[in-house]
Amino acid sequence: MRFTFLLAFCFTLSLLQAQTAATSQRASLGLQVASGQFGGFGEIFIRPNISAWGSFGFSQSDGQLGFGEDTISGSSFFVPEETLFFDEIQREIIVRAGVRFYIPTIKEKWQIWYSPILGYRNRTAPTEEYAQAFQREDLHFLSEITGRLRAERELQLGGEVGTRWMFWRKPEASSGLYLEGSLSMLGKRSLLDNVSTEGRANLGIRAAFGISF
Amino acid sequence: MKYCLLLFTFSLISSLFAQEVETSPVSRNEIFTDLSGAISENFRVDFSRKGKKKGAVVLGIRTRTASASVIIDTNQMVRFADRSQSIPRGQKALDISIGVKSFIGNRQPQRGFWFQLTALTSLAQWRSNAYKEAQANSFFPDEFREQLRTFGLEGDIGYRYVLDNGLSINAFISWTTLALRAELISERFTPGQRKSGGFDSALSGSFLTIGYVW
Repeated sequence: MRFTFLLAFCFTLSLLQAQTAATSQRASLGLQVASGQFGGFGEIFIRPNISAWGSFGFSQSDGQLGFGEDTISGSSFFVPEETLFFDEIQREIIVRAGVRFYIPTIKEKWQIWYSPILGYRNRTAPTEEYAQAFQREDLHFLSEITGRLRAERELQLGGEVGTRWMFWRKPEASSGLYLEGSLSMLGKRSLLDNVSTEGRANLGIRAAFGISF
Repeated sequence: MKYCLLLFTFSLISSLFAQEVETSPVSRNEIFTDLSGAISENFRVDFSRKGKKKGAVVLGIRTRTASASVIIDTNQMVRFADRSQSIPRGQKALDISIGVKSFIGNRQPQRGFWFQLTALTSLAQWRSNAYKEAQANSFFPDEFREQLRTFGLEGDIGYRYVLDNGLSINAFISWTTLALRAELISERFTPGQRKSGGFDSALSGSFLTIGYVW
């Protein structure tokens, strides 16, 4: 684990030394939507084409549990007699940071970038109301299987590629509005014992709107 | 998913227009490893040797993990989810792979798109210590799932960027199909019931694979 991060750090440093092209942006702020999460994004340019960035995302999830009449008949389930709906039973926050390397294109307003990502995801345990309902004796069998929710904490490491379109920009200044989209591929590791994470890296998608200055 | 692939392809194709002219001589060998997979204990190292044209042969070795479970209670009054215990990364395997890679376009031999077809098979498969411990404390301590030899095919499409110092970064998306087989070592079942198997297909990849080219 330490070796992996050391290698990622050294690699990022070597990328820093490799960039030479220049743009005139100094910083940017934006709003983002990423895989069902809303959040914010900010970056500061530490070199003309390289920025250190951080972002956060937030989401809440609802759920439902069925009760009664859970006798299994062959391979089918009897419909629950009662269904309870629960709002906002879990909250999730993702914090990510990285270093972006911008690559100019033949279009002045259009940029492509790549960034290594280090992220942390925290999903809270379900609410007490939900946890108590899950303990009811007449819980439907289907809810027994699908309704067990837990707190999750995981570390994420991967990369992201994306494009930024400065759709309004003053010719003599760096300020302007931008729209960007990106794809990420992240490996994940659970920080909690006995909580499994995906064995494979997952593809993520993100869109953002913001201002650079 | 189609939109994701389209956007990815679109963003990478456009980067072709942004590259500076490559002046260094063509390097034929590359060794690379996936950092993002390493944190989930999916380690891999690949060696690629390029031919005289656009093709290359890629040899690799990688680890693979899968969760396992043991039965800890058979009481019907206990919640179904509480009757078994899941062990993250309980089953592990070491795979070897051989593939052919083709670089698309030769304007920038050190930077550009590539695609690869790979065949892989397991070299060794074992249970983690946590799985063995959970199994020993389970309701059926003599019962465990033994993996049999696995075969698989993988298709990748990616982009490689080589820095002047020889360091390389690859971003790629993979589609992997594995033919998994296992045998449940148990006295409770007949030999025919113990065997299980199936295909496991998944989209994956890495945007943080680093290497060295020489």
